[in-house]
Amino acid sequence: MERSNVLEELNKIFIEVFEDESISINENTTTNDIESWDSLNHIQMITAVEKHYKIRFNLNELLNFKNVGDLCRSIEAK
Amino acid sequence: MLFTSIIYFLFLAAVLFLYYLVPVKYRNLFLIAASIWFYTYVKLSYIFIILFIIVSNYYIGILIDQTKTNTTRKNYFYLSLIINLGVLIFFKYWNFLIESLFTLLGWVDLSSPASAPVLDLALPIGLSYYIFQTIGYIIDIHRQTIKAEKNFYHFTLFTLFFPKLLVGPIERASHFLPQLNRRITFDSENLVEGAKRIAWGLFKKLVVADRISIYHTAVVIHSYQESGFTLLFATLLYTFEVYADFSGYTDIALGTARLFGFNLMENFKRPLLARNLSDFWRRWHISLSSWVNDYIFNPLSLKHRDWGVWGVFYALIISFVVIGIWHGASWNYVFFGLLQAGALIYETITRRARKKIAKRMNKSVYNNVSILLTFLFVSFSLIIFQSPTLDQAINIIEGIFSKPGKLFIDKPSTLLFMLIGIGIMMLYDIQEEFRPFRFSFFSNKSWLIQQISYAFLLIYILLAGVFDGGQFIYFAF
Repeated sequence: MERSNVLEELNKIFIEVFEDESISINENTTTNDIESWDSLNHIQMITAVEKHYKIRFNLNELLNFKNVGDLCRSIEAK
Repeated sequence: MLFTSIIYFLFLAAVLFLYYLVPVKYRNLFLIAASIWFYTYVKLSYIFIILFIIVSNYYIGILIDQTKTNTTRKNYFYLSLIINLGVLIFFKYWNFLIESLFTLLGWVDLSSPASAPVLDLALPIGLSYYIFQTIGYIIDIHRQTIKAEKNFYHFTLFTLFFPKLLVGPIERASHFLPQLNRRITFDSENLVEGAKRIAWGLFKKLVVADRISIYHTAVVIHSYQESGFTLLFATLLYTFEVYADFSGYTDIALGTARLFGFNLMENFKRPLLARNLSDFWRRWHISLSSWVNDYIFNPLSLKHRDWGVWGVFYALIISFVVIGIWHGASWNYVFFGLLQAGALIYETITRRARKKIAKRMNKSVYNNVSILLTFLFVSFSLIIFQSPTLDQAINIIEGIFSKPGKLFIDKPSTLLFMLIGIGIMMLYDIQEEFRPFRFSFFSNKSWLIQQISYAFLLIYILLAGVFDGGQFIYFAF
Protein backbone atom coordinates (compact mmCIF):
# COMPACT_ATOMS: atom_id res chain seq x y z
CA MET A 1 0.00 0.00 0.00
CA GLU A 2 1.56 3.24 -1.08
CA ARG A 3 1.35 6.32 1.09
CA SER A 4 -0.12 8.43 -1.72
CA ASN A 5 -2.85 5.82 -2.27
CA VAL A 6 -3.71 5.81 1.37
CA LEU A 7 -3.88 9.59 1.43
CA GLU A 8 -6.09 9.62 -1.64
CA GLU A 9 -8.53 7.12 -0.17
CA LEU A 10 -8.53 8.89 3.18
CA ASN A 11 -9.23 12.19 1.46
CA LYS A 12 -12.37 10.69 -0.10
CA ILE A 13 -13.52 9.47 3.32
CA PHE A 14 -12.79 12.86 4.88
CA ILE A 15 -14.73 14.72 2.19
CA GLU A 16 -17.72 12.47 2.78
CA VAL A 17 -17.69 12.46 6.57
CA PHE A 18 -16.88 16.14 7.07
CA GLU A 19 -19.22 17.17 4.22
CA ASP A 20 -16.65 19.46 2.67
CA GLU A 21 -15.61 19.14 -0.97
CA SER A 22 -12.61 21.40 -0.56
CA ILE A 23 -10.71 19.10 1.81
CA SER A 24 -7.23 18.14 0.72
CA ILE A 25 -5.28 16.34 3.41
CA ASN A 26 -1.62 15.64 3.75
CA GLU A 27 0.50 13.87 6.37
CA ASN A 28 0.64 16.90 8.61
CA THR A 29 -3.06 17.69 8.65
CA THR A 30 -4.50 17.94 12.15
CA THR A 31 -7.90 18.74 13.63
CA ASN A 32 -6.97 22.43 13.62
CA ASP A 33 -6.81 22.46 9.82
CA ILE A 34 -10.36 21.38 9.10
CA GLU A 35 -13.07 23.64 10.42
CA SER A 36 -15.94 21.20 10.69
CA TRP A 37 -13.87 18.49 12.44
CA ASP A 38 -15.49 17.88 15.81
CA SER A 39 -15.77 15.00 18.22
CA LEU A 40 -18.81 13.47 16.53
CA ASN A 41 -17.49 13.37 13.00
CA HIS A 42 -14.10 12.30 14.34
CA ILE A 43 -15.79 9.12 15.59
CA GLN A 44 -17.62 8.80 12.29
CA MET A 45 -14.37 9.23 10.38
CA ILE A 46 -12.59 6.56 12.42
CA THR A 47 -15.41 4.05 11.97
CA ALA A 48 -15.54 4.86 8.23
CA VAL A 49 -11.77 4.23 7.93
CA GLU A 50 -12.05 0.99 9.91
CA LYS A 51 -14.88 -0.19 7.68
CA HIS A 52 -13.09 0.74 4.47
CA TYR A 53 -9.84 -1.07 5.31
CA LYS A 54 -11.54 -3.78 7.36
CA ILE A 55 -9.27 -3.08 10.30
CA ARG A 56 -9.71 -2.25 13.95
CA PHE A 57 -7.62 0.31 15.81
CA ASN A 58 -6.92 -0.25 19.46
CA LEU A 59 -7.67 2.48 21.99
CA ASN A 60 -4.05 3.37 22.66
CA GLU A 61 -3.37 3.97 18.97
CA LEU A 62 -6.45 6.14 18.60
CA LEU A 63 -5.52 8.28 21.57
CA ASN A 64 -2.01 8.83 20.27
CA PHE A 65 -2.86 9.98 16.73
CA LYS A 66 -1.57 13.51 16.36
CA ASN A 67 -2.05 14.01 12.65
CA VAL A 68 -3.11 12.26 9.47
CA GLY A 69 0.42 10.89 9.08
CA ASP A 70 0.03 8.87 12.29
CA LEU A 71 -3.27 7.55 10.98
CA CYS A 72 -1.62 6.47 7.71
CA ARG A 73 1.21 4.69 9.49
CA SER A 74 -1.26 2.81 11.64
CA ILE A 75 -3.29 1.72 8.61
CA GLU A 76 -0.21 0.58 6.73
CA ALA A 77 0.97 -1.46 9.69
CA LYS A 78 -2.18 -3.54 9.68
CA MET B 1 -2.96 33.19 51.88
CA LEU B 2 -5.21 35.03 49.45
CA PHE B 3 -3.59 36.26 46.25
CA THR B 4 -5.11 39.68 46.92
CA SER B 5 -3.69 40.10 50.40
CA ILE B 6 -0.77 42.24 51.50
CA ILE B 7 0.87 39.26 53.19
CA TYR B 8 0.93 37.42 49.87
CA PHE B 9 2.81 40.25 48.17
CA LEU B 10 5.25 40.52 51.03
CA PHE B 11 5.81 36.77 50.79
CA LEU B 12 6.19 37.01 47.01
CA ALA B 13 8.67 39.87 47.17
CA ALA B 14 10.80 38.03 49.70
CA VAL B 15 10.75 34.74 47.81
CA LEU B 16 11.47 36.43 44.49
CA PHE B 17 14.39 38.36 45.90
CA LEU B 18 15.95 35.32 47.53
CA TYR B 19 15.27 33.15 44.48
CA TYR B 20 17.56 35.18 42.26
CA LEU B 21 20.24 35.30 44.97
CA VAL B 22 20.28 31.55 45.53
CA PRO B 23 22.75 29.62 43.32
CA VAL B 24 21.01 28.21 40.24
CA LYS B 25 21.34 24.57 41.25
CA TYR B 26 19.50 25.17 44.52
CA ARG B 27 16.66 27.22 43.06
CA ASN B 28 14.15 24.41 42.54
CA LEU B 29 14.78 23.24 46.10
CA PHE B 30 14.24 26.77 47.33
CA LEU B 31 10.93 26.97 45.48
CA ILE B 32 9.85 23.70 47.08
CA ALA B 33 10.66 25.11 50.51
CA ALA B 34 8.80 28.34 49.74
CA SER B 35 5.82 26.35 48.44
CA ILE B 36 5.70 24.20 51.56
CA TRP B 37 5.79 27.31 53.70
CA PHE B 38 3.02 28.85 51.59
CA TYR B 39 0.89 25.74 51.86
CA THR B 40 1.28 25.29 55.59
CA TYR B 41 0.56 28.95 56.27
CA VAL B 42 -3.15 28.22 56.40
CA LYS B 43 -3.10 24.83 58.10
CA LEU B 44 -0.14 22.61 58.88
CA SER B 45 -1.74 19.19 58.65
CA TYR B 46 -2.82 19.45 55.00
CA ILE B 47 0.78 19.23 53.89
CA PHE B 48 0.92 15.57 54.88
CA ILE B 49 -1.84 14.67 52.44
CA ILE B 50 -0.15 16.32 49.48
CA LEU B 51 3.24 14.86 50.45
CA PHE B 52 1.69 11.42 50.68
CA ILE B 53 0.21 11.84 47.19
CA ILE B 54 3.55 13.06 45.85
CA VAL B 55 5.63 10.21 47.31
CA SER B 56 3.22 7.42 46.40
CA ASN B 57 2.69 8.61 42.83
CA TYR B 58 6.37 9.29 42.29
CA TYR B 59 7.20 5.66 43.04
CA ILE B 60 4.20 4.18 41.24
CA GLY B 61 5.00 6.24 38.15
CA ILE B 62 8.51 4.83 38.03
CA LEU B 63 7.25 1.31 38.68
CA ILE B 64 4.83 1.51 35.77
CA ASP B 65 7.61 2.75 33.51
CA GLN B 66 10.02 0.01 34.50
CA THR B 67 7.60 -2.88 34.32
CA LYS B 68 7.27 -4.77 31.06
CA THR B 69 4.30 -6.99 31.70
CA ASN B 70 1.03 -5.30 30.78
CA THR B 71 -1.05 -6.76 33.60
CA THR B 72 1.42 -5.61 36.26
CA ARG B 73 1.55 -2.14 34.71
CA LYS B 74 -2.20 -2.03 34.79
CA ASN B 75 -2.26 -3.10 38.42
CA TYR B 76 0.15 -0.35 39.44
CA PHE B 77 -2.03 2.06 37.48
CA TYR B 78 -5.13 0.94 39.34
CA LEU B 79 -3.28 1.22 42.63
CA SER B 80 -2.46 4.86 41.97
CA LEU B 81 -6.06 5.51 40.91
CA ILE B 82 -7.34 3.98 44.14
CA ILE B 83 -4.97 6.11 46.19
CA ASN B 84 -5.65 9.34 44.32
CA LEU B 85 -9.40 8.93 43.97
CA GLY B 86 -9.64 7.49 47.45
CA VAL B 87 -8.11 10.58 49.01
CA LEU B 88 -10.22 12.89 46.83
CA ILE B 89 -13.48 11.09 47.50
CA PHE B 90 -12.79 10.74 51.20
CA PHE B 91 -12.06 14.42 51.82
CA LYS B 92 -14.45 15.87 49.32
CA TYR B 93 -17.37 13.58 48.69
CA TRP B 94 -17.80 11.43 51.78
CA ASN B 95 -20.46 13.61 53.38
CA PHE B 96 -22.33 14.07 50.11
CA LEU B 97 -22.34 10.34 49.36
CA ILE B 98 -23.25 9.26 52.85
CA GLU B 99 -26.05 11.81 53.16
CA SER B 100 -27.45 10.88 49.75
CA LEU B 101 -27.31 7.22 50.71
CA PHE B 102 -29.12 7.84 53.96
CA THR B 103 -31.71 10.01 52.23
CA LEU B 104 -32.33 7.12 49.85
CA LEU B 105 -32.66 4.74 52.78
CA GLY B 106 -34.97 7.26 54.38
CA TRP B 107 -37.32 7.05 51.40
CA VAL B 108 -37.74 3.35 51.99
CA ASP B 109 -37.93 3.96 55.68
CA LEU B 110 -34.77 2.10 56.53
CA SER B 111 -33.00 5.02 58.10
CA SER B 112 -32.99 8.78 58.17
CA PRO B 113 -30.59 11.38 56.78
CA ALA B 114 -30.25 12.79 60.25
CA SER B 115 -28.44 9.71 61.43
CA ALA B 116 -25.88 9.75 58.60
CA PRO B 117 -22.36 9.46 59.96
CA VAL B 118 -20.95 12.65 58.48
CA LEU B 119 -17.41 13.68 59.12
CA ASP B 120 -16.32 17.13 60.11
CA LEU B 121 -13.65 17.37 57.47
CA ALA B 122 -12.46 20.55 55.89
CA LEU B 123 -11.28 20.34 52.32
CA PRO B 124 -7.48 20.38 52.02
CA ILE B 125 -6.44 23.34 49.92
CA GLY B 126 -6.11 22.72 46.21
CA LEU B 127 -7.04 19.04 46.55
CA SER B 128 -9.17 18.85 43.42
CA TYR B 129 -6.47 20.54 41.39
CA TYR B 130 -3.45 18.50 42.39
CA ILE B 131 -5.27 15.16 42.49
CA PHE B 132 -6.48 15.64 38.92
CA GLN B 133 -3.03 16.77 37.84
CA THR B 134 -1.44 13.68 39.38
CA ILE B 135 -4.00 11.32 37.84
CA GLY B 136 -3.27 12.86 34.44
CA TYR B 137 0.44 12.30 35.02
CA ILE B 138 -0.05 8.61 35.82
CA ILE B 139 -2.38 8.09 32.85
CA ASP B 140 0.20 9.69 30.55
CA ILE B 141 2.86 7.29 31.85
CA HIS B 142 0.57 4.31 31.46
CA ARG B 143 -0.23 5.33 27.88
CA GLN B 144 3.49 5.80 27.32
CA THR B 145 2.93 9.36 26.22
CA ILE B 146 5.61 10.46 28.69
CA LYS B 147 8.28 8.85 30.80
CA ALA B 148 8.07 8.92 34.58
CA GLU B 149 9.94 11.78 36.22
CA LYS B 150 12.95 10.27 37.97
CA ASN B 151 13.99 13.45 39.71
CA PHE B 152 12.04 13.46 42.96
CA TYR B 153 12.49 17.20 43.50
CA HIS B 154 11.22 17.97 40.01
CA PHE B 155 8.15 15.85 40.59
CA THR B 156 7.58 17.48 43.98
CA LEU B 157 7.77 20.97 42.52
CA PHE B 158 5.45 19.92 39.71
CA THR B 159 2.78 19.14 42.30
CA LEU B 160 3.60 21.69 44.98
CA PHE B 161 4.57 24.82 43.01
CA PHE B 162 2.84 27.50 45.01
CA PRO B 163 1.39 29.76 42.24
CA LYS B 164 -0.80 26.92 41.04
CA LEU B 165 -1.59 25.35 44.40
CA LEU B 166 -4.73 27.32 45.17
CA VAL B 167 -6.63 27.55 41.91
CA GLY B 168 -4.66 25.67 39.30
CA PRO B 169 -4.19 25.58 36.35
CA ILE B 170 -4.15 21.80 36.33
CA GLU B 171 -0.82 21.37 34.63
CA ARG B 172 0.42 18.63 32.31
CA ALA B 173 3.72 16.89 32.87
CA SER B 174 4.74 17.38 29.25
CA HIS B 175 4.21 21.13 29.59
CA PHE B 176 5.71 21.78 33.00
CA LEU B 177 8.48 19.25 33.68
CA PRO B 178 10.69 20.25 30.74
CA GLN B 179 10.79 23.78 32.16
CA LEU B 180 12.55 22.45 35.24
CA ASN B 181 15.42 21.13 33.19
CA ARG B 182 16.34 24.30 31.41
CA ARG B 183 18.92 26.65 32.83
CA ILE B 184 17.29 29.58 34.56
CA THR B 185 19.02 32.80 33.75
CA PHE B 186 17.84 36.16 34.93
CA ASP B 187 15.65 37.74 32.29
CA SER B 188 14.06 41.08 33.11
CA GLU B 189 11.29 40.36 30.64
CA ASN B 190 9.97 37.69 33.03
CA LEU B 191 9.69 40.25 35.80
CA VAL B 192 7.98 42.80 33.59
CA GLU B 193 5.52 40.41 31.96
CA GLY B 194 4.81 38.72 35.27
CA ALA B 195 4.10 42.03 36.98
CA LYS B 196 1.81 43.14 34.15
CA ARG B 197 -0.14 39.91 34.35
CA ILE B 198 -0.53 40.27 38.12
CA ALA B 199 -1.69 43.86 37.75
CA TRP B 200 -4.36 42.85 35.24
CA GLY B 201 -5.46 40.02 37.52
CA LEU B 202 -5.73 42.37 40.49
CA PHE B 203 -7.84 44.71 38.41
CA LYS B 204 -10.25 41.94 37.41
CA LYS B 205 -10.50 40.55 40.91
CA LEU B 206 -10.59 43.68 43.08
CA VAL B 207 -12.30 46.15 40.78
CA VAL B 208 -14.60 44.05 38.64
CA ALA B 209 -15.41 40.84 40.51
CA ASP B 210 -15.52 42.06 44.10
CA ARG B 211 -17.62 45.09 43.19
CA ILE B 212 -20.23 43.05 41.33
CA SER B 213 -20.20 40.59 44.21
CA ILE B 214 -21.50 43.21 46.63
CA TYR B 215 -24.49 43.90 44.43
CA HIS B 216 -25.12 40.29 43.40
CA THR B 217 -24.95 38.96 46.96
CA ALA B 218 -27.41 41.58 48.13
CA VAL B 219 -29.85 40.64 45.39
CA VAL B 220 -29.56 36.91 46.02
CA ILE B 221 -30.13 37.28 49.76
CA HIS B 222 -33.38 39.09 49.01
CA SER B 223 -34.18 37.11 45.88
CA TYR B 224 -37.69 36.28 47.05
CA GLN B 225 -38.59 39.96 47.04
CA GLU B 226 -36.64 41.28 44.11
CA SER B 227 -38.24 42.18 40.81
CA GLY B 228 -37.73 40.20 37.62
CA PHE B 229 -35.56 42.94 36.13
CA THR B 230 -33.31 43.02 39.16
CA LEU B 231 -32.95 39.25 39.16
CA LEU B 232 -32.13 39.22 35.47
CA PHE B 233 -29.65 42.07 35.81
CA ALA B 234 -27.92 40.40 38.75
CA THR B 235 -27.81 37.10 36.85
CA LEU B 236 -26.09 38.67 33.86
CA LEU B 237 -23.70 40.58 36.10
CA TYR B 238 -22.83 37.39 37.91
CA THR B 239 -21.45 35.89 34.70
CA PHE B 240 -19.00 38.78 34.47
CA GLU B 241 -18.26 38.36 38.15
CA VAL B 242 -17.31 34.70 37.94
CA TYR B 243 -15.23 35.33 34.84
CA ALA B 244 -13.40 38.29 36.40
CA ASP B 245 -12.96 36.44 39.69
CA PHE B 246 -11.58 33.18 38.39
CA SER B 247 -9.62 34.54 35.41
CA GLY B 248 -8.28 37.38 37.55
CA TYR B 249 -7.03 34.99 40.19
CA THR B 250 -5.59 32.80 37.45
CA ASP B 251 -3.80 35.84 36.00
CA ILE B 252 -2.18 36.44 39.37
CA ALA B 253 -1.14 32.77 39.46
CA LEU B 254 0.31 32.86 35.95
CA GLY B 255 1.94 36.25 36.54
CA THR B 256 3.55 34.98 39.72
CA ALA B 257 4.90 31.89 37.96
CA ARG B 258 6.24 34.12 35.18
CA LEU B 259 8.22 36.17 37.68
CA PHE B 260 10.19 33.02 38.38
CA GLY B 261 10.54 32.25 34.70
CA PHE B 262 7.84 29.59 34.51
CA ASN B 263 5.07 29.44 31.94
CA LEU B 264 1.89 27.85 33.25
CA MET B 265 -0.81 26.88 30.81
CA GLU B 266 -3.53 29.34 29.87
CA ASN B 267 -6.83 28.70 31.56
CA PHE B 268 -9.05 31.22 29.81
CA LYS B 269 -9.37 32.41 26.26
CA ARG B 270 -11.98 35.16 26.23
CA PRO B 271 -14.83 32.72 27.05
CA LEU B 272 -17.56 35.33 27.06
CA LEU B 273 -16.96 35.84 23.35
CA ALA B 274 -17.65 32.17 22.57
CA ARG B 275 -19.99 31.51 19.66
CA ASN B 276 -21.51 28.31 20.93
CA LEU B 277 -21.25 26.11 23.97
CA SER B 278 -18.55 23.77 22.60
CA ASP B 279 -16.49 26.85 21.83
CA PHE B 280 -17.20 28.14 25.34
CA TRP B 281 -15.85 25.00 26.95
CA ARG B 282 -12.67 25.28 24.89
CA ARG B 283 -12.21 28.77 26.34
CA TRP B 284 -13.33 28.42 29.98
CA HIS B 285 -11.27 26.71 32.68
CA ILE B 286 -9.26 25.21 29.82
CA SER B 287 -6.97 23.16 32.08
CA LEU B 288 -9.99 21.33 33.48
CA SER B 289 -12.01 20.94 30.28
CA SER B 290 -9.00 19.77 28.28
CA TRP B 291 -8.13 17.35 31.10
CA VAL B 292 -11.64 15.88 30.97
CA ASN B 293 -11.47 15.84 27.16
CA ASP B 294 -8.16 13.99 27.03
CA TYR B 295 -8.72 11.57 29.90
CA ILE B 296 -12.48 10.97 29.91
CA PHE B 297 -14.33 12.18 26.80
CA ASN B 298 -11.92 11.00 24.10
CA PRO B 299 -11.28 7.53 25.53
CA LEU B 300 -14.98 6.99 26.23
CA SER B 301 -16.27 8.19 22.89
CA LEU B 302 -13.63 6.21 21.00
CA LYS B 303 -14.20 3.09 23.09
CA HIS B 304 -17.89 3.21 22.27
CA ARG B 305 -17.58 4.33 18.68
CA ASP B 306 -19.72 1.39 17.62
CA TRP B 307 -22.63 3.07 19.39
CA GLY B 308 -22.42 5.94 16.89
CA VAL B 309 -23.99 9.19 18.10
CA TRP B 310 -25.13 7.49 21.29
CA GLY B 311 -21.52 6.83 22.19
CA VAL B 312 -20.77 10.53 21.89
CA PHE B 313 -23.85 11.46 23.93
CA TYR B 314 -22.90 8.98 26.63
CA ALA B 315 -19.34 10.34 26.74
CA LEU B 316 -20.65 13.92 26.90
CA ILE B 317 -22.95 13.18 29.82
CA ILE B 318 -20.26 11.41 31.85
CA SER B 319 -17.69 14.10 31.05
CA PHE B 320 -19.84 17.02 32.06
CA VAL B 321 -21.18 15.38 35.19
CA VAL B 322 -17.53 14.95 36.16
CA ILE B 323 -16.87 18.62 35.40
CA GLY B 324 -19.91 19.48 37.48
CA ILE B 325 -19.04 17.48 40.55
CA TRP B 326 -15.39 18.42 40.31
CA HIS B 327 -16.66 21.75 41.60
CA GLY B 328 -18.30 20.32 44.62
CA ALA B 329 -20.21 17.67 46.41
CA SER B 330 -23.79 18.69 45.81
CA TRP B 331 -26.67 18.09 43.46
CA ASN B 332 -26.72 21.54 41.92
CA TYR B 333 -23.32 20.78 40.42
CA VAL B 334 -24.64 17.52 39.01
CA PHE B 335 -27.54 19.38 37.38
CA PHE B 336 -25.18 22.00 36.10
CA GLY B 337 -23.16 19.26 34.39
CA LEU B 338 -26.25 17.57 32.97
CA LEU B 339 -27.44 20.90 31.64
CA GLN B 340 -24.14 21.45 29.80
CA ALA B 341 -24.26 17.92 28.37
CA GLY B 342 -27.85 18.42 27.25
CA ALA B 343 -27.04 21.67 25.48
CA LEU B 344 -24.00 20.13 23.79
CA ILE B 345 -26.07 17.18 22.62
CA TYR B 346 -28.52 19.68 21.18
CA GLU B 347 -25.65 21.46 19.43
CA THR B 348 -24.37 18.18 17.99
CA ILE B 349 -27.76 17.22 16.62
CA THR B 350 -28.46 20.65 15.15
CA ARG B 351 -25.04 21.32 13.64
CA ARG B 352 -26.16 20.96 10.02
CA ALA B 353 -29.31 23.00 10.53
CA ARG B 354 -27.40 25.78 12.22
CA LYS B 355 -24.85 25.81 9.42
CA LYS B 356 -27.68 26.31 6.91
CA ILE B 357 -29.07 29.21 8.93
CA ALA B 358 -25.59 30.73 9.13
CA LYS B 359 -25.24 30.66 5.36
CA ARG B 360 -28.47 32.54 4.89
CA MET B 361 -27.77 35.25 7.44
CA ASN B 362 -25.42 38.20 7.40
CA LYS B 363 -22.14 36.95 8.86
CA SER B 364 -21.61 39.50 11.61
CA VAL B 365 -25.26 39.44 12.65
CA TYR B 366 -25.09 35.66 12.96
CA ASN B 367 -21.85 35.80 14.94
CA ASN B 368 -23.06 38.49 17.32
CA VAL B 369 -26.38 36.74 17.95
CA SER B 370 -24.47 33.50 18.56
CA ILE B 371 -22.24 35.19 21.12
CA LEU B 372 -25.25 36.71 22.84
CA LEU B 373 -27.21 33.45 22.97
CA THR B 374 -24.20 31.58 24.32
CA PHE B 375 -23.72 34.26 26.98
CA LEU B 376 -27.39 34.01 27.97
CA PHE B 377 -27.19 30.25 28.25
CA VAL B 378 -24.05 30.44 30.39
CA SER B 379 -25.70 33.04 32.64
CA PHE B 380 -28.71 30.82 33.03
CA SER B 381 -26.51 27.81 33.86
CA LEU B 382 -24.70 29.82 36.49
CA ILE B 383 -27.95 30.37 38.37
CA ILE B 384 -27.98 26.64 39.01
CA PHE B 385 -24.25 26.60 39.61
CA GLN B 386 -24.39 29.17 42.39
CA SER B 387 -27.65 28.19 44.08
CA PRO B 388 -27.03 25.81 46.96
CA THR B 389 -30.39 24.15 46.36
CA LEU B 390 -32.44 23.51 43.26
CA ASP B 391 -35.37 25.31 44.91
CA GLN B 392 -33.51 28.56 45.11
CA ALA B 393 -32.43 28.26 41.49
CA ILE B 394 -36.00 27.64 40.32
CA ASN B 395 -37.16 30.54 42.45
CA ILE B 396 -34.77 32.92 40.78
CA ILE B 397 -35.60 31.67 37.27
CA GLU B 398 -39.33 31.93 37.91
CA GLY B 399 -38.82 35.33 39.45
CA ILE B 400 -37.10 36.65 36.35
CA PHE B 401 -40.20 35.96 34.30
CA SER B 402 -42.89 36.77 36.79
CA LYS B 403 -41.95 39.32 39.42
CA PRO B 404 -42.97 42.87 38.55
CA GLY B 405 -41.14 45.95 39.68
CA LYS B 406 -38.29 48.23 38.86
CA LEU B 407 -34.59 47.55 38.67
CA PHE B 408 -33.00 47.90 42.09
CA ILE B 409 -29.87 50.02 42.25
CA ASP B 410 -28.86 51.30 45.67
CA LYS B 411 -26.56 54.07 44.41
CA PRO B 412 -25.73 55.30 40.90
CA SER B 413 -22.04 54.94 41.74
CA THR B 414 -22.48 51.19 42.25
CA LEU B 415 -23.81 50.81 38.75
CA LEU B 416 -21.19 53.15 37.32
CA PHE B 417 -18.24 51.35 38.86
CA MET B 418 -19.53 47.93 37.85
CA LEU B 419 -20.17 48.95 34.26
CA ILE B 420 -16.86 50.78 33.86
CA GLY B 421 -15.02 47.75 35.22
CA ILE B 422 -16.86 45.33 32.97
CA GLY B 423 -16.39 47.71 30.06
CA ILE B 424 -12.62 47.87 30.45
CA MET B 425 -12.36 44.11 30.88
CA MET B 426 -14.51 43.31 27.85
CA LEU B 427 -12.93 45.95 25.61
CA TYR B 428 -9.60 44.31 26.26
CA ASP B 429 -11.02 40.89 25.36
CA ILE B 430 -12.79 42.21 22.27
CA GLN B 431 -9.57 43.82 21.08
CA GLU B 432 -7.63 40.57 21.62
CA GLU B 433 -10.28 38.52 19.84
CA PHE B 434 -11.33 40.65 16.89
CA ARG B 435 -8.72 43.40 16.76
CA PRO B 436 -11.24 46.08 15.75
CA PHE B 437 -9.11 48.94 17.05
CA ARG B 438 -5.79 49.80 15.57
CA PHE B 439 -4.71 51.55 18.75
CA SER B 440 -4.07 49.47 21.87
CA PHE B 441 -2.97 50.62 25.30
CA PHE B 442 -1.33 47.70 27.08
CA SER B 443 0.47 46.32 24.07
CA ASN B 444 1.15 49.63 22.37
CA LYS B 445 4.43 49.91 20.49
CA SER B 446 5.33 52.99 22.48
CA TRP B 447 6.91 51.99 25.81
CA LEU B 448 5.69 55.25 27.35
CA ILE B 449 2.04 54.65 26.48
CA GLN B 450 2.30 51.14 27.92
CA GLN B 451 3.73 52.39 31.20
CA ILE B 452 1.14 55.16 31.49
CA SER B 453 -1.64 52.65 30.81
CA TYR B 454 -0.43 50.35 33.58
CA ALA B 455 0.02 53.32 35.91
CA PHE B 456 -3.59 54.31 35.29
CA LEU B 457 -4.63 50.72 35.88
CA LEU B 458 -2.89 50.62 39.25
CA ILE B 459 -4.37 53.95 40.27
CA TYR B 460 -7.82 52.77 39.25
CA ILE B 461 -7.35 49.57 41.25
CA LEU B 462 -6.53 51.64 44.33
CA LEU B 463 -9.50 53.94 43.77
CA ALA B 464 -12.17 51.48 42.74
CA GLY B 465 -10.99 48.20 44.21
CA VAL B 466 -12.77 46.45 47.03
CA PHE B 467 -10.21 45.96 49.76
CA ASP B 468 -12.17 44.65 52.66
CA GLY B 469 -11.80 41.03 51.84
CA GLY B 470 -13.86 39.46 49.09
CA GLN B 471 -13.53 35.68 49.15
CA PHE B 472 -12.71 33.81 46.06
CA ILE B 473 -15.28 31.47 44.56
CA TYR B 474 -12.94 28.84 43.14
CA PHE B 475 -10.96 28.65 46.38
CA ALA B 476 -13.34 26.06 47.72
CA PHE B 477 -12.67 23.47 44.99
